[in-house]
Amino acid sequence: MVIEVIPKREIKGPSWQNYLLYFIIVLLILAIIGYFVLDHFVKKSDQKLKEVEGKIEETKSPEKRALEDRLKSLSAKIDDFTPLLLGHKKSSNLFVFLEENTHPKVFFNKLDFDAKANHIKISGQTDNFFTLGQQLLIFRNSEFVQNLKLSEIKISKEGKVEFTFDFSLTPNLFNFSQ
Amino acid sequence: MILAIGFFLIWPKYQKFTKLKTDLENKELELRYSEEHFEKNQKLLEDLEEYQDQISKIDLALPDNPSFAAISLINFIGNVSDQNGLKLKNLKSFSITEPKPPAQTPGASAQPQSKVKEILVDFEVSGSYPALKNFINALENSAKLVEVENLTLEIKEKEEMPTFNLKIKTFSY
Repeated sequence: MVIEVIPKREIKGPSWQNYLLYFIIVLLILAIIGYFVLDHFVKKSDQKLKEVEGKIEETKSPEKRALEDRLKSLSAKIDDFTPLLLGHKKSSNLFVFLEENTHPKVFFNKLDFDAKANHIKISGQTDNFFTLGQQLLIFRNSEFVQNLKLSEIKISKEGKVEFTFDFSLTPNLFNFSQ
Repeated sequence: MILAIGFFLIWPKYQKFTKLKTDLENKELELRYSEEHFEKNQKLLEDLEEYQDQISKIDLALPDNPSFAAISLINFIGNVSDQNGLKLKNLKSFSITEPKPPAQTPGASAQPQSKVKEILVDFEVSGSYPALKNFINALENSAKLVEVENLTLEIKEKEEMPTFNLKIKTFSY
């Protein structure tokens, strides 16, 4: 039996190989951990996304849509109503105008009033040309009368002077503040 | 093997994670906007509750149903003429006019079309001149938005009660 007095030195590989092996093992472990960590975050984000989507759907509930529709229609109605109210005319001011601007000896018997064009055609009769002239002056001096025309002047069987006035009225006559 | 794990498992997972993160940020922004929008609407509605009287007046002046508004107007004309001593002799016609589309100018942004419909009623009443005056005053001062479009009258000497032709306009939604 041979006794080895001097033990043989163990043959070792190069140390860098060991380091590489450790490094690869660590890297592998890290990769596996990283995969699971990422997977956890993906699941968490996915769940949170679903929650947020659910909350967004809640904001589109029929009640909230009904509220929005009601506000929209109300807003549109107010917007449409404003110009109507501002343009609203007080046509009865025509009667006030005629009462204030009719000569006491003039009698009007026919009226055609177009409120859209603020145009009036009014026929009447009076005793003589003098009062007709005065009536013409009254209308001419009115701040509300424009494009005044006197026509169809004739003398009736009863000796009265018949006539027709044709003119436009300024829109401010029909303001509610008048 | 590590490269395979990185390429086939970690990289797709990472991409999915970044995409989800972006989606989540966008959705959170959308949610915040929706919530703010809803809160604003609710606040607006609360503020409008204070103006309930005015809103009711607008609803009365601009009713939602044009057919109902036309019938209601005719009924109203009948009642007001009676109250003011006029006799409703003839209801010539009534029409409901749809709103015209707004004029489009090139380059300008499209204007929203108004939903306001015009209701025109053409009729004949007889009575005295003061009664006509009171009748028109009553129409103008009513809660409805009533306007005279056209008025014609002719007083004949022998005729006891003159006849007045009136065309009036109101609005509906």
